[in-house]
Amino acid sequence: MNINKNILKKEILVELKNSSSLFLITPTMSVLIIIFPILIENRFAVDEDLFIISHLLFLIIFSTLFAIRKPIILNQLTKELNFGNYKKIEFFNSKSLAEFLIFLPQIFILNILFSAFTNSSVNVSILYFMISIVFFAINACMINIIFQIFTSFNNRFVQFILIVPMYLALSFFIGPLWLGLGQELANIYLLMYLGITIVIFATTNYYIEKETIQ
Amino acid sequence: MSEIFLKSSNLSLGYSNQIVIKGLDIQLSFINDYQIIGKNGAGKTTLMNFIALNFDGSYFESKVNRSQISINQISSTSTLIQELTLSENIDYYTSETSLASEEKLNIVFKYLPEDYLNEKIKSFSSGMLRRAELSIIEIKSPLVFCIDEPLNFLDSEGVLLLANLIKDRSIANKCNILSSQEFVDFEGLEFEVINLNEY
Repeated sequence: MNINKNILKKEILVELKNSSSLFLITPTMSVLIIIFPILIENRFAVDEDLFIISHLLFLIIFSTLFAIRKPIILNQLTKELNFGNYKKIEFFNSKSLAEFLIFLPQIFILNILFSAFTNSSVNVSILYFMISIVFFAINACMINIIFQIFTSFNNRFVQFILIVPMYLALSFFIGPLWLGLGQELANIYLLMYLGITIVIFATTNYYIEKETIQ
Repeated sequence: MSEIFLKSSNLSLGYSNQIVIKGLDIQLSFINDYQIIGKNGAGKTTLMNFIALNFDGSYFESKVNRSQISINQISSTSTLIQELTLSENIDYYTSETSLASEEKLNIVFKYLPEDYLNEKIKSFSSGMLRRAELSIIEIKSPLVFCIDEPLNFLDSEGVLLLANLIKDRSIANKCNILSSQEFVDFEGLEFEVINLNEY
């Protein structure tokens, strides 16, 4: 799979030493705690679906903040990979895996905290809920890295503008699932998500390999 | 394997509308050492980046024949990972080499005091960064070593270490490419000069 354990180790070490994602979950949750009681106090009745939509919104906000926390600077990355004699494909796969490993526990924590603070739940079994979160996390991490290594922007604002619609698209698959679908429809949604994951991974690997050969 | 590792004719390189190098013929061999000299803006760093596969400009025109070999470059800005310690950086950058950890550390301690091993790179001075990068080059021993402004940031002891590294590599038939504004004389070493002032 072209995963390099040194790159994986380095990415996780850098994250541990920076703790940058810790600084993200705190403000996101603070907003949640402050905003929700205010919103709810001003309504006579709150529809349960509103919480699920807000749940997705918080997931997108948190994923976007996570994605822009440390932009990849392309020429520095090229120098680093050449200095270490690493291939770009190894970087993409290892960095995606590292980001996934860092990101996944955090969005699980975010989801648990959201449910705890809003006293709401999703209308799907725990297994399907976890699978949907795993798919979302894999795709969110891969798309973020693809955007950063195929485009030369290193401006957080531009990155934010481009990445939010992508994450919105990813959440469209989760929305109906969480709102409650029949078993068969839920299976189709998850299969579609799996298909998208495979297409993104395969296409990116193909383009990076092609670029390297040229 | 051929001694020529890079051959390019009528090479032009640049950034957006500005062409920095135009019509340069270049042929580089393992058995020679080179010095790229030129005034400010002549394109020394651009050419060096091109040789070391780090060129990030937008204008490129030439036919290039290049062998798949190990090329490492030390540029004016450090490539080491700032958040990691020297020891972690060495593990990361020298993972492919067959040397044992102790041998690697012996090489590192030639360039830097032992106290630096567990220090984060971001606390290093420019000179120490250079020395750390030089130690990694000695451990990795790439076939081609490129260094931009070789004397920058180094004190007299550092320059001596660099001179010894280049000499040892030259004896082992490994290519060294230096770029600076003026010719740098390393006693006992011969360099082929690529003068960019002429282009």
